[in-house]
Parts: sequence; structure tokens; C-alpha cells
Amino acid sequence: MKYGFFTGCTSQADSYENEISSRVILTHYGIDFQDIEDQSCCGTPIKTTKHSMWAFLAARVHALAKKQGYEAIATICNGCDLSLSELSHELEHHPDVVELINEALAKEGLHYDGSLPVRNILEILYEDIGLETIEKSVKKKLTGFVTAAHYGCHAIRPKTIKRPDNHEQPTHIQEILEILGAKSPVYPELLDCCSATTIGVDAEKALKVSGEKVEIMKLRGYNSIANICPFCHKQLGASQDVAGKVLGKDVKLPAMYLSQYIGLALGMDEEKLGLQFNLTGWEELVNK
Amino acid sequence: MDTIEYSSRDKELANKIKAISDEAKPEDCYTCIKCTNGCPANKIFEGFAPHKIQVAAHMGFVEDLIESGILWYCMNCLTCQTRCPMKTSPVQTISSLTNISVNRGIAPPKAFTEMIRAVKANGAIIQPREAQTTDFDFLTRDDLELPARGIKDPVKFQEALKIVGADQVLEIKKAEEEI
Ligand code: SF4
Ligand code: SF4
Repeated sequence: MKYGFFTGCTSQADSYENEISSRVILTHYGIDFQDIEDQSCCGTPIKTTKHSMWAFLAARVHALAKKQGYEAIATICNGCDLSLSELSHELEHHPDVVELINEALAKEGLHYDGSLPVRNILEILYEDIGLETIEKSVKKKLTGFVTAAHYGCHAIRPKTIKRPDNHEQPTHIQEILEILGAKSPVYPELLDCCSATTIGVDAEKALKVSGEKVEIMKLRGYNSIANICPFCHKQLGASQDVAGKVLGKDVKLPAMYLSQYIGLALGMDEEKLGLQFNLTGWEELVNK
Repeated sequence: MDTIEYSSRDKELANKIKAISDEAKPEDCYTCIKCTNGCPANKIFEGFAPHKIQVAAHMGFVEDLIESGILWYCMNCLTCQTRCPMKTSPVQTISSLTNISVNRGIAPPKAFTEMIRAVKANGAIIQPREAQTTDFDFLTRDDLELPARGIKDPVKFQEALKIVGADQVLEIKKAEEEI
């Protein structure tokens, strides 16, 4: 399958490590992918404000990918993944919206006539590459890690369309971590939202929600966090300092992307995995 | 509880919601409260309860909800939609209502307008910037030799965005600034 690689807005600013490590891992396992040229926002952050603009932006990605000859779209953000996945379902009974977005797409010589399959990096890792292949490639077991998985809401919901993992009992991140030699037991707050969506509405409360999730991970004995979504990762990783200030507690816990855990277990160079951008203190754990 | 003014009832609301979402279906809600029990926004924002929003939307009494701005507190976690035994979607009702309020000229929280402005400027909600490393270096996409991003034909892209309503949102903001 020839994937069009869609990196999303966050890679332009705070999430270089997500893109860097995803590229390295996908390449390592021989996944056939190339960047979708001229890509823009997937639309998801705009959906609650201007539905037609969301639909246009999501359709634009599909139209570009199709025109550039890809068979499917690979995503590295749960928000992008849901947006691009749900588009055809949401437009099914809305020919008027399809007409409007095509009028807009025509400005750039584009046309939307249905979506391509969309695959989140978790699906590519778990289904395309598979546990067996990953297990065989492990060089350095991550035995010191007791890692709290965080799937992110948009990777598992809604139930009405296909998502990368089960909506109430996801297991794929944990299965992958365990194959790498880490421990990743389930915990009661596994499904709790990171609250990234409300960071622009009430930052203090949003950080309280994410900070409390990290705090409970610590209390339950985890020494690290694994994310697959840059929005979740920002809330539960990069924002730990401010969240700690909001809560008046220490909520520092090394947070890394799943692809970075895989890279470490493969013995890859830390800088090649973008770990220099993870500011939550992974060094001690890795060098244990 | 305050009495609801009958005159504030929007009899066309059901159709306005349907124009945006097929799955919202506030009319199918039987107020079991399962959505609110699993709602993270309900735990932290006082008065935010998806089942109440479904009922209010079904009845057509949403003026208070729209004016209070409370609808923007939804975290968009989709738990309510996933768990609703009646296969309705409170989150889609909420998202339809925020859209309806913006269409009417009520400004969304500033962060949303800013994101639309940024998309219009270069296709992404965030402007390209430097990221800090553990060695206190500040690096850009270029430094990292990552492929360049940005819209090839910004003028055409902006014309397209105008058609799908981006400018309508930005103009609301302008009106506010002028006051
Ligand atoms: S779960 Fe569904 S039926 Fe129950 S109160 Fe919520 S919207 Fe209504
Ligand atoms: S999507 Fe919104 S309303 Fe629904 S459960 Fe999540 S926060 Fe609550």
C-alpha cells in the first residue's frame, strides 16, 4: 500500500519529535510512504466553529492525496486521523455540503469524490507491521519501563466508524510496549481525556485535568507515559511544568511517543528519534 | 429554576441541527444520564451536562446555553456519543449549536478565531516556530531537514476558505475589536 504521509499542524511547531520518530520507524519497517504535497490543516480544530470549513479542509487532504496517486493516508495525530476518517460518513447525507466544498476546492483545481482509507500510526504498527515483526527486531529490551499507555479519545471513539482500537478496552499500545520488554498494565483512568480541546477556552482547568491524570499515573507506580497523539502528548508531557504549578504538585513523569519507545528498543540513536525534544526527563530511565 | 420565556423557543432548531449533523438526534434522548455520568467536562465545569443540552435542544430552548458560552467547554472526547444507549450524539448537538451561534454572528472563544486566522495565513493552526531541545538549542523544520510546509497558492486557498465561511468568522472578531 502506497501511503500519503499527513503530518498535521502540530509538527510545524511543538511536535517535531513525533514526525521525526514516526518517519524513522515507518522507514525502518519498509512502509511505503511519501509526504502529501501542499498539505494543510485537517480541519478538526475548526469543526466546532465552522463545520463547512472543517469539511473543506478534510476533503482537501483527500483530494490532494488522490490526485498525487496515493492509495491511503497515514496519520500521526489522533485528531487528524478522526477528521479524515469521519469525513465520508458525515457527508453521506449532505450533498449540499459536498457541492459547497467542491466549489471551494475547484479554486485550487481540486475535487472531492470520496475518501481514501485512513490509517493511524497505531494501526500501521499493529496491523501492517505486526507484533511478531516488531518483537523480532528488538535489540535492547526496555526492562526498566513501567509505562502508562494513553490512547487518546479520538483513537478509540466514536463507535459509529472504524477506529484504530476498541472504544472501551483498547490494548494495542500496551501490547506493543510489552513486546518491547516494558510493563504496561491497565489502570482505571486509562480512557480519561487529556483535555487538549479546552486549553484555549480555560487553560487552568484543562491543565488541572491533564495534571491530575499524570499525578494518578505516578501514584499508581508508573515511571513513564506513552502517547501516540501530539495534542495528548503536549497536555500530558510538554505541559507538565505548568500543570504542576496549577496543581501545586510535582507531576513530572517522562513522556515519549510510542514510536520513540520502539526506536529505543531497536537500539536507535536518541537524536534520530527526536528525543532531544522531549523535555520530561527520559535520560535517566533510558540509561538505566 | 428560571422560567423559560416561550418567545425564546427556536422552532426551527431541529432542522438547523440536522443540516449539520445526522447523529445529534436530541429528539431520541430519553434522559438516562449515561452521557453525563461519563463526561469529563461535567466533572470540572459547573453546570455543563450533555443530557441537559440534549433536552434543551429537543425542546428548542437553547438561548441560555448559547449566550452563556458553556457549550465551548465540551472536551470533544466523544464518550457521550459512544455510550448513548439511544445512539444519539450529545457532542454533535453541542458542536451544531456552537456552529449555529457562530453563523448568527456570535464570536467563538478567541483561540478558535486565532486558529482560523492562522490557517488562512499559512494552512496550519500554528505558525512554524522553533522547538527547544534538552541542550537548550532552538531548532526549526529547516534545521532538522524536514520537508517544507505551507500552501503553494495562498491566494487561491484563501478564496476557497472564503467560500466555506472562514471570513465570516474573522469578521465577527473584527466587529468586536471595533467596539
Ligand atoms: S446517554 Fe443518550 S439517551 Fe441517555 S441522557 Fe445521554 S443523550 Fe440521552
Ligand atoms: S464529548 Fe463533550 S459532552 Fe460528550 S462526554 Fe466528552 S466532554 Fe462531555
